[in-house]
Amino acid sequence: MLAAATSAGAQGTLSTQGFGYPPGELSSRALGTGGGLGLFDPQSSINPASIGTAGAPLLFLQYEPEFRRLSSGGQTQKTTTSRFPLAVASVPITSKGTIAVSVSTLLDRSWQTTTTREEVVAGDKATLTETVRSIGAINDIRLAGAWVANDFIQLGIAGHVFTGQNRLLFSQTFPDSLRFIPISQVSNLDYTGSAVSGGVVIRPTSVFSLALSGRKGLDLNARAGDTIVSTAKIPDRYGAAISYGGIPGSTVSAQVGRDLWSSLNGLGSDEARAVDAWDVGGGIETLGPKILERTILIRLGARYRTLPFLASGSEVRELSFAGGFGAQFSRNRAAFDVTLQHSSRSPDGSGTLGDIHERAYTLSFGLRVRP
Amino acid sequence: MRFIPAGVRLAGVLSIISIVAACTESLDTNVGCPDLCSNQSGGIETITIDPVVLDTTVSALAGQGTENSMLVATRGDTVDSRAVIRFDSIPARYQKLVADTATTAITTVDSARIRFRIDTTGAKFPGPVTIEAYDVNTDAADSLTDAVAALFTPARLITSKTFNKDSLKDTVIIELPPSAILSRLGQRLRIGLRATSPAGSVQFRIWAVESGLAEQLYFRAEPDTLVKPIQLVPYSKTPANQVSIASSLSDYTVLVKGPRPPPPGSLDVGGLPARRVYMRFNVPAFISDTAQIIRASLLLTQIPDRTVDPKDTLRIIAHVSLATKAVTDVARAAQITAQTSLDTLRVAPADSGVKLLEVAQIIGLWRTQKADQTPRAMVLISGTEGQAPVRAVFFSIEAAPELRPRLRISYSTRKTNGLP
Repeated sequence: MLAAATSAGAQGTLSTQGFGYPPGELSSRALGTGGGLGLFDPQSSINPASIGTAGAPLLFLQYEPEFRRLSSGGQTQKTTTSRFPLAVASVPITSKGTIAVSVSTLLDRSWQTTTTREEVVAGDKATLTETVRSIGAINDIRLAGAWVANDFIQLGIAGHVFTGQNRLLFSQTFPDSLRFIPISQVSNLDYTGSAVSGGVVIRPTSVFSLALSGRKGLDLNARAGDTIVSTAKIPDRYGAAISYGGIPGSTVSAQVGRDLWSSLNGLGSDEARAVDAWDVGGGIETLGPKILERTILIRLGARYRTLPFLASGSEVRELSFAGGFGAQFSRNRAAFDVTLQHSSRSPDGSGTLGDIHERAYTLSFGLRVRP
Repeated sequence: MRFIPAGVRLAGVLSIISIVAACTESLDTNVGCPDLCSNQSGGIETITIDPVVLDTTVSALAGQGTENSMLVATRGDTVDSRAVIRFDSIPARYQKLVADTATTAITTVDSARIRFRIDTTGAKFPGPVTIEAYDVNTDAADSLTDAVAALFTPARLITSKTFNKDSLKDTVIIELPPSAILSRLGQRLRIGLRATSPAGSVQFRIWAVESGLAEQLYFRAEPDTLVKPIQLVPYSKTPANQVSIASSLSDYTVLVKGPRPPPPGSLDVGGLPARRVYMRFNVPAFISDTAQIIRASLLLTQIPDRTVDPKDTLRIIAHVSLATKAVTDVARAAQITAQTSLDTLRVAPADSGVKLLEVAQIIGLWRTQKADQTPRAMVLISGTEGQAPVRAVFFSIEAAPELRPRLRISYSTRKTNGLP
């Protein structure tokens, strides 16, 4: 008599469709340059070779609240999402080798919708308030090792374990508590998956650097309790970046990445359809003014990418502009980076969505400590 | 002190404000719905089933005299109900002063009276009402109420008092002749109360000891008002060595004549003597165990009953039976109940057709019980059980299928494993 299991449906925003929003696994510093420094930056977790330049033991933690505004049909709503998308610990093991452990968010599935409607229950009309809330994420736990062969090249490899949980809460309530009783459902979905990755950073000249990285995704399982409910592959990712340090005090960088998100198809329902996506961006990091006898680094960047999951049949495009600064403290044993990113997200027009669009301000705070 | 530029200070303040503001997540949005929210609504389905496997009418009260109020009614051929109040310890001696250590034999009685409070809800006072007090002392067994009813004779009449109908509001005082007390010194006085009116049917209720508003017998052993009066509350010495039953019998209702019984095979709630309906259910497992029930209604088809007060309102409440299967007597199982349902069914006895009583809370409670240990049953109880003759009659499972008690269940069809 009961209906068969259905999907948890869409999520009320453009950016959190399907299994969620990808923060990008970039550090505050890399985010401030449009991702241009992401493949060179030891605090970002997309190129294992980059940890070779860490130099000394370090701990890094990032906090990243997002203030989102969704508009449709002349109406606007605001949301606030708190994220801790990245944490890294690295330690040199020889004069040329470094290992690092990082935890980063691959897909953040945090959203809530509340709707009220009239429903006929057993012949009587009732006002029904329905709330659906999802919290949780798929996280990437990476163990990476890098080797700096010489000034020309450094190499890195990593193993990834993807884990995490989505908790979906559903409730229906009625103002008339005499005739109707509220219901609630809680569904937990656990993820386990794995991947391997490798990367290289090459310095053909003293001012140019190139970086390449690739991640090969292996199986990803979604479990409800002890039961595997669906299986897919962790998306492959390929990236390349270039940086130029020929301008005194400045580094200009650019990156391009290809995420094969479509390998996630089959993990969810047909409505959670993922598409392969490009991610391009670039920016500049330059010496700024000295404040309190500390040199301030100023960063500016821009980034354009496609989000992994279709929204009502449309691809969702994201254009971001970022700016930030960084400074070192305590005899350079600590560093603090702040980035403010403004993102515009909109459907590509191929689907049935109307004038829905999303604006978001993301504040990224990164704290790096050398114990 | 080092100078901190204004821009840096502003950036610091904004950063702190942003961090604090972002500590509280606010994820709720629906402006993109339904385009971005399709497929997340939960459907609701409604089914009607015949899960009643046993239904029967049983006696309502746990024992004689346990009612909160006693019905005193004289309603021609339909109802004749009276009240008995026992004072089984009339003293033979008294203390003149509190400080006295010696007692004095009672030789005179002054200002003797009985006082009680009445509930006029649903009362019928067609005109002047005469309340008669009878001496109903007897050695007959306590359970033989017919023997007590037979004592309401002119020879046993102690006194009577006529009240204007407007004066019967809360407290009623009836003066007793001194001889009624003097003849019972050191013994027991049991008073039977009956009400009549030349204008027609009379009906009201006297609050019983169980309500906390006990009746009182008052008299003075001396006319001197400096001497403390003697005040007694109802007390029964019988049955001997059965304190609980004796306590209930300190005041009780004697039903001389009740409404005629309802049609055979029907279910009746309320009335006199008070009755309840016990219904046992065999609910499909998917409803009792897994379905998320939003609404559950017990559908009862009412049979018009014009025996007594056909237009009065009767309140019916569904209780859940907590009796385990060890209790094989359904009459006893119908006494072991708890009220979990918030709904009250209001009907007039003369009504007909299908009536709804919301029982979702009861089905929710059944989930916490093991059906093989505690039968899934509910008991329909009148809100004025034992206190009024009004009753409602319903078809039972012996009736035609469309008239039987049924259960209508609305439940959520949404079932998700969390996958988008």
